Amino acid sequence: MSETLYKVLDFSRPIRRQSFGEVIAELEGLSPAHNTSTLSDGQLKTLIAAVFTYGLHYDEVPKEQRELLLKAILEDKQPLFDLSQTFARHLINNLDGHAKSRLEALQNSEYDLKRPMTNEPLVDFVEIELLDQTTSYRKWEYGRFSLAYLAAHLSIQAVLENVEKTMKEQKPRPEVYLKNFSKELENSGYNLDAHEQLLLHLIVKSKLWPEKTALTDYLLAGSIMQQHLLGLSLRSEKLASTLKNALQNLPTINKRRGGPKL
Amino acid sequence: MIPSEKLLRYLEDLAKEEHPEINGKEYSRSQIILAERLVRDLQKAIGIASRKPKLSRRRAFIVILEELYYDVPKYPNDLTLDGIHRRAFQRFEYMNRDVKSFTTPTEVHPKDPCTYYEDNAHAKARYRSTLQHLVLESHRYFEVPEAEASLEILFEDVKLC
Repeated sequence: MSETLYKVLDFSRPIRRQSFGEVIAELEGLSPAHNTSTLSDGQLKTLIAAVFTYGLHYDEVPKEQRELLLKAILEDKQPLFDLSQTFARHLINNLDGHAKSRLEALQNSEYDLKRPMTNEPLVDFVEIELLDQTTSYRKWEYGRFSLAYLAAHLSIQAVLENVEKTMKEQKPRPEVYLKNFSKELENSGYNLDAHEQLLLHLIVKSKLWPEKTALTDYLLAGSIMQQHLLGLSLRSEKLASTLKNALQNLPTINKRRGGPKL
Repeated sequence: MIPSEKLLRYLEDLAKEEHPEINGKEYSRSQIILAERLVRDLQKAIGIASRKPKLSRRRAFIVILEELYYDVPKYPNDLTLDGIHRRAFQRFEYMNRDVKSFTTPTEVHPKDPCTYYEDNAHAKARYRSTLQHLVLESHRYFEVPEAEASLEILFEDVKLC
């Protein structure tokens, strides 16, 4: 068989960010008594993004907690649920002709928003057209998207800009800098899990040396995010402060070479 | 849990490897396969290696049906989707939910799809796109090479009919 080529996702097309709660509020305003309703294009995409996020991450929690997880996603209880929902919206923007017409056909049905997983044709669509690619050949794209999202979400812009300034002045070798950073993460009692250490390493690497960040790095990031989104979201403040502290504690080249001035 | 020095060593080793690079607007399946091979050990070490591959319910059922029955012209009369689900669930991770739209093996994965979907172009298009991902990414999902090959032939047929 000839080589299979996949198109890189185009993130430049606009997306709407209507939340599930906003959709519910809109619908209740229209027909408060009904259990099911047809949805506008925007409302349908919000429902799809929520089902996608549940489908990508439900197995992070044991069976008895999955109802709760779904509820938490619908109610936007965790900051990082938005990461996967936003990715889903971009995926929808990139659907091919067949999948697009399947999406259009979904507009003709009525949906039970109180029980999203019972909308069978819609859940089938999410599994077949969105989830399977995200858990296989697009996992690295999800990882690349996640690293960009996290760098913005963790509010580490200021500290990274400082580091970038140091880079320009001192030009440390990336591998030496990253090794020191990883050592710092391990040494100072930050109490991180291995996947958290690795994720912080990858955030810094992709931000400071995008040209050295390879498919393998994005793939690792994608795997970590797919398996640990909820846990990472719960610890996102801790991760942000750890990242800041570790970067600030890092010995700069001058400090190491120069020693104290007399 | 993996000791940090070991994690560092993995990262250093990984940095030494030749990496598939992404340039432009396309990437190939073999780049992904190579990248997945390179990170496998590290993923295992930090416990993010997937226990079972995630795959949609319908595609998981098709893999199992094809592996079991690729070489017979008809499914056994007493074959139920419950039995297929039990096997599929051991191999793949998918949402276990009530499904009403597919109730028989033939509805999931018909033996003669061109005839079966003759009067239903939408269902045929859906089936074709369901097969396409399995054919392009078969290395992830199949354990029986003969079934992998027979599904590819079937996919080519469905594209033409």
